[in-house]
Amino acid sequence: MNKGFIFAGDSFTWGEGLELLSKLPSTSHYKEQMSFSMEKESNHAWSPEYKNSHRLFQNKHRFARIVADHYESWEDVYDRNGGCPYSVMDELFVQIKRSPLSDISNIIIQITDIWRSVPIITTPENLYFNKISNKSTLSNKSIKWFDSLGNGSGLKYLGITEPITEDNFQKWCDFDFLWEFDTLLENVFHIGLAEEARIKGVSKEVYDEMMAKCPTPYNPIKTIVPPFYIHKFLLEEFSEYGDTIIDIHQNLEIELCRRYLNFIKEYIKPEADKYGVRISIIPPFNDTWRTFLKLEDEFYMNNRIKFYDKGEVYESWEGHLACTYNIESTKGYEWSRNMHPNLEGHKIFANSIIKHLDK
Amino acid sequence: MNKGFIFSGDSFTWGEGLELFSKLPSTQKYFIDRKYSMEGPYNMAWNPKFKNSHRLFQQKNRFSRIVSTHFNTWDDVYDRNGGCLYANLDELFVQMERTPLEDVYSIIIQVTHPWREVRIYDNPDELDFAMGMHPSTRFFRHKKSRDTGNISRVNVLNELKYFGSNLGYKKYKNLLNTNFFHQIENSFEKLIRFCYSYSEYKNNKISYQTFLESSDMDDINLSTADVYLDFCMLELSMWGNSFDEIYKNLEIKLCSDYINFIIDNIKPLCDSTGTKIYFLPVWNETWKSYYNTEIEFYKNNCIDIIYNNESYPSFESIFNKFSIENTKGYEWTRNQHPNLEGHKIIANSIIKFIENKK
Repeated sequence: MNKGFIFAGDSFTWGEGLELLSKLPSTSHYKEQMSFSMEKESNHAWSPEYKNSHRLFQNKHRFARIVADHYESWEDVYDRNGGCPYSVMDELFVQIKRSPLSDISNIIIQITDIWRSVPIITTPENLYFNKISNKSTLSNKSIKWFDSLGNGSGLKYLGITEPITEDNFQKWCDFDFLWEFDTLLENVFHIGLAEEARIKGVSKEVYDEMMAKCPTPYNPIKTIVPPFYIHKFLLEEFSEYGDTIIDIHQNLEIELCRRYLNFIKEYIKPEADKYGVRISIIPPFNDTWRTFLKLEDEFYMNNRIKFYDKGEVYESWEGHLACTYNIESTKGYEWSRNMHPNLEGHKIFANSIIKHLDK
Repeated sequence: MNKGFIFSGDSFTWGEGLELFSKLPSTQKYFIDRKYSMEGPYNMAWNPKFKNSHRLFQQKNRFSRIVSTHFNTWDDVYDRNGGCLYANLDELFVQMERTPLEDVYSIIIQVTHPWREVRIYDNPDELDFAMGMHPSTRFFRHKKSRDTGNISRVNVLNELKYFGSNLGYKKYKNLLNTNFFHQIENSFEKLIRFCYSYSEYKNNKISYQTFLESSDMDDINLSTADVYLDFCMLELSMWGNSFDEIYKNLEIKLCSDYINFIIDNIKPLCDSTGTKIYFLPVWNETWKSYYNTEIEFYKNNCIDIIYNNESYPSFESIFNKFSIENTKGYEWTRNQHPNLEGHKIIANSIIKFIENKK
């Protein structure tokens, strides 16, 4: 095959943690200290603390290279570790620009956690690709629509006094309260769920435990907007999605998945079709794969990659495969607490992709 | 093998021109226009006009990847096309910093043409008066002297000494400026070749026309030519009694300086981690001068090119079979780099050498 592959995805596609299995002398300190983290500065592929030998070992052993080698071809993977659904799309636009689609046979999109980087007051795709802030993206791409996930009626509980528009959303994104949650809707839901449980009468102990699960440090007393109003915000802002926070969360997840697939169909697929490039999708590594399946979207159903291992078929990496082939599940590497595929795991990814493509 | 390779070299190592064999649609324009060049702005690996798909195809098919794949490991190649001896070493220092030597089994240094960037007049702003400089000092100086702007930020304890007398610079210091030697591209190699032809003309051995043609010139002011000749004699006469001899001896000196620079500045670092250094010989006839340095370290670690079970001292020997411009259908490219088969031959030669050394 002379044409190549573009792989777009998060830390799974990048190959996080593979260097731990390299036996390279410069990785021995991880084992000695029983500590490995790619958080913060090291989260970048080109951090000086992260050695090029690690990167090259990863490149050699991650599923993208194994697939490309199988077809005697080459692979374009963006050199960054991690990402949310739309930052991955942003990188994909860059990849498509630098590796022309005329030279590409396949784009493999590995879907990440759909809740990553979902903002509180607008849609995740508008966060990256709106006409105003698009200069901060890598690709400088803008999209046709601007809207929000909610109906606008709950914003008053957050102290937002006007409807969110393309012109003013950047101003409201900097609003203090939103930063208490890192501006992430997922974090707001943590408080909303705890508050709903409190209203339903759970013990203070359970309530405190639920509050503590909020990933950002949140003090219900000192906050600008108390939990009661956060609960009200979620119920009113997203009333179309259900009557309880749990229902709203579930239905909003479906909406997020639907929007993501639509984004791919609207902005990637037409370009790919022009050049006869096939798009295949690796389902998310967590339980949100079920939500994608629930959509019964024809494009997704036809192009999703199933996992094959020892005669069994799996819809996602989540569950058995993760428990068996993640780095932290590998004997001697439990200390790493790293939930990415090990060398064998990447081979399973690669063989599953090859099987899908060969069909 | 878990440890990897560092490959250091010029456009041969980078894999220039391999994308022409990719059959990728975005390379069709070269065939339609029957024109291909990496000169000028195209000379950089990351020029936006040079597509990433071309680069990825190259990486997949160049000899460094073939070698590392054979040993089931990885290869670090600096992402720039081309370079002179010391620019390549500057890049090598960057590679050694980003890819720790403890992780590296072997460094393969592909030696390039020794006369590249051996300039007559260099860094004029930096000196009180013009004087000769060793080509290495464009990149590597003593740590107390001025920053050279090299990418590795490496300084050296002992600068290599200029190979000439400086008598010419002193005599003509009022004439010398960046433009004075532009007709010979500010190059010592071209100066010596020019002086050879000019003295032949002056001795009535060749015609004026032949002299100009051999010097690749349309015309030259003869008083300027006389200064060139006198300058060259003053600077370099310690290297021989004829320009032929000067050229030959100075070439060996340049090769010897380069290898000794590696022995002094790179080998000790490699020795401390058990990393081997091997040399891939230069692709032109100057391989003889590297050999004639008589430096054991070079001779013992120099890779022979193996083709059809025969050993060759350089890719030069099989150039007519495996360069791009000698590939059927690719004559129009005028590209003198190895084709796909050429890269395989180089790779197999390296593999054989390493396996024999083990």
